Amino acid sequence: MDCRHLENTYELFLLGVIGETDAARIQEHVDRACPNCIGGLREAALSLFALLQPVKPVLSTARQRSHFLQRLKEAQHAAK
Amino acid sequence: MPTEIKKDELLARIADHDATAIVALFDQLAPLLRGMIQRMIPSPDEAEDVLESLFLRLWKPMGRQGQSKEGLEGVSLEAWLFITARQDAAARRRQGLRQPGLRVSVEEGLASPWLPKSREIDLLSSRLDMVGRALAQLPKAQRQILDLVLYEGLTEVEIAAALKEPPGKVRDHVRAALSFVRQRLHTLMGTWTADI
Repeated sequence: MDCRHLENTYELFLLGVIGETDAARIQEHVDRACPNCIGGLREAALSLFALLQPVKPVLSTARQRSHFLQRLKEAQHAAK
Repeated sequence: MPTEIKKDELLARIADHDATAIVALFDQLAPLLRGMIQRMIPSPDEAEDVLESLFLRLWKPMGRQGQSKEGLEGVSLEAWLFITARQDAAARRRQGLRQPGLRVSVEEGLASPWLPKSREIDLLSSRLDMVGRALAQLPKAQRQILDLVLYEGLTEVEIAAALKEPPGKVRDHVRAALSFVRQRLHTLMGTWTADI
C-alpha cells in the first residue's frame, strides 16, 4: 500500500483545500484503516491545531453567552 | 471565570445528553475558537453564528442518536472543534460551498481514527510558546501563502491566480511550509504521537 504520494496532502485534506481526486484517495485509505495515512493525518491534525491557535482569544460578552444559551434551549426543546 | 472541568469528562457528559456540559465547554473554548473564526469572518455576528452552530451540532446528533461513550474515550473534542470550526468558517466565507475533505457529521468526525487523543492535545497546548517560536522561523513568503490556505480557505490553484504566481511555485511553497511546521513540531514534541 504505497501512500508516499499522499504524504504532503494530509493537512490540505483536513483543511478541505484539496482536489476531489486526492481527497477520495485519502478517504479510501482511511476507510481501509491504512496505518500510514491514519498516522499522517493524526500528525497533520496536531500541526493544524497548533497553527490555528489564535494570537488573542476573544472573550464572550454577556450578550453572546446569553444568545448561545437561548439557542441551546431551543435545540433542547425541539429535540423533545 | 467558570471553574475549568476536564474536557474528557465534558465529552462523556455531552454523550450522556447533558446540556450543562455543552455550556461548560462553550465557556472554556469559545474565546479561542472565536479568535480563530473572527480572523476568517470579519462580521462579528456571522462569526458568532458559525461558533454557536458548531456547539449546537454537539447537542443534536449525539442527543438523538446516542453516541457510544466508550467509542469517545480519550478522543480530543478540542482538536475536532478547532479543525471543524475552521472548515465551517471557510464554508461560510465561500457562501456555503463545502470543500472536499473531512466528513462532516459529529459522529463520523469524533470517530475518525486519525483524531488526536486529548493527552496529545494537552501536551501540545503546554508547549504552544515553543511552537510559536518555531513558526516564527517560517520564511515570510511561505507564511503568507500558508495564511491564505488557513484563513482565506483558498486552494493552491486559487492562490496562484490571486498572487499571479505559477501554480507549481505556490504548490511547492504550501507543501514546504506545512512540511516545515510538521517537522518542527515533531522535534518539539519528541516522540510525537507514538508513545505520548
